[in-house]
Amino acid sequence: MFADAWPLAVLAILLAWPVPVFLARASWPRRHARAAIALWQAVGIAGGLSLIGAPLAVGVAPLDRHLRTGLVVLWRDAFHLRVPASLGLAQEIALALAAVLTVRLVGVTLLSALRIERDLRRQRDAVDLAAEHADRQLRVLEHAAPAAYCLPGTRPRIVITEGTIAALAPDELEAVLAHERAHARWRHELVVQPFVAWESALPLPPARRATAAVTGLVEMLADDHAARSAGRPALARALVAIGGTAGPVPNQRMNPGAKTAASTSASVPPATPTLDRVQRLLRAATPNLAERLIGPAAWFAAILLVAGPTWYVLR
Amino acid sequence: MANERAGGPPRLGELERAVMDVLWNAPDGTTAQEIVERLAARDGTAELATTTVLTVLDRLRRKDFVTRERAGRAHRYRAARTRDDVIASSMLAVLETTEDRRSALVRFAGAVSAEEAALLRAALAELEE
Repeated sequence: MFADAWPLAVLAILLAWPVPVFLARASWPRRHARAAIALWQAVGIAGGLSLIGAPLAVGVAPLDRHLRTGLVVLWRDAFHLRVPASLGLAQEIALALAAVLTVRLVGVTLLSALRIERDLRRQRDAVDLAAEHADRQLRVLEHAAPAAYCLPGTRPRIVITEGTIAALAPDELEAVLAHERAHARWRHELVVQPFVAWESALPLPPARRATAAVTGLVEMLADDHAARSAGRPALARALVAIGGTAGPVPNQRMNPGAKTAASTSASVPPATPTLDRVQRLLRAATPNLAERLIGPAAWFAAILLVAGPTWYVLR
Repeated sequence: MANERAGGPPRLGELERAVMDVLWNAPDGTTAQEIVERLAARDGTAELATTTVLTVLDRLRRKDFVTRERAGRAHRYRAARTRDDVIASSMLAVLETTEDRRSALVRFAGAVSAEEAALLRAALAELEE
């Protein structure tokens, strides 16, 4: 009786839980970072659309077996300010749910984009005025703590501190700069920001997993660029030099009590992204055939995941 | 002032930096006219129009880098925060990057615990064998 609703609901549930869990645990994405990012994006898009599509299909089910034609009927009636007589309370609730989800997803995404842009503008102003301009893009902050980051945008800034320069050998510094330049050049923020927005719209474990995974994958992409221009050893040494230095800012996760608790409860500390990245650089294995096929397979799955449901709804 | 485009007028961004440098070296505040004089003296160039400096000051005020107060017929301008404060809050924003700001500022490498630092160094030793 719910016609199109079932397949969409099943898809929404799969993409909301088992698929992100599986993807987040898999180890192949670190060897196929770009394909894995595409797959995460497809999971996000298809997940969002099926999450809205499923209640929508429940709502218009009495009007037509198909979601698309049902929506056309609903739209025509709404245009004439009529509520179709065949819609019961359950359908109205489902339609309202779809509307609320849509407004929330779109609204939070826009708000998140605005907030990020405002934050970035403030950061850009600060480093443009208070930092040394090493070149058109590079800003050097007079600060002893090592840090390096990219302020993304159409005119990106790469910011490093004097502490960074002091802590690194020339080839290590080149690796850090190549890494940040890759972030800026390939607009990695455009990959990460939608996931951050979706996570704030639906603050649930799968969304957190997706954001964490995509953030890590984007770092790995930048690492690959840096490794190509500065070499793996220099990049690994730079990661250790910068990551191995505790920041001057008290960090919740680094207070001594928490640390002892963590070390007594588990003999193997959880892999942090930094550690993970160093280990990835050290294990540059030559992939076998099966491993090489995973990349194209992930791309195919990503396309299928978006095209399949779209075809199904529009058929 | 370093003028990257030879012969052309200095760009607004460069002027903003130059004016902030003057203000950061004048904790008691200064007038637009004094800024004009100091910039000319520092760079040994012709004086800028006071209106140009006022425009720059206005932009800096909108960015919350400059405050002003009336002093007779003119205004006294002051840096809203010291240079060190601006740098410190930039660093704080990066080092304390909270979960939902991650997208704006991704550090090259996050700080790790002492144990993880040891693991990192061990991994590195492996590399250099």
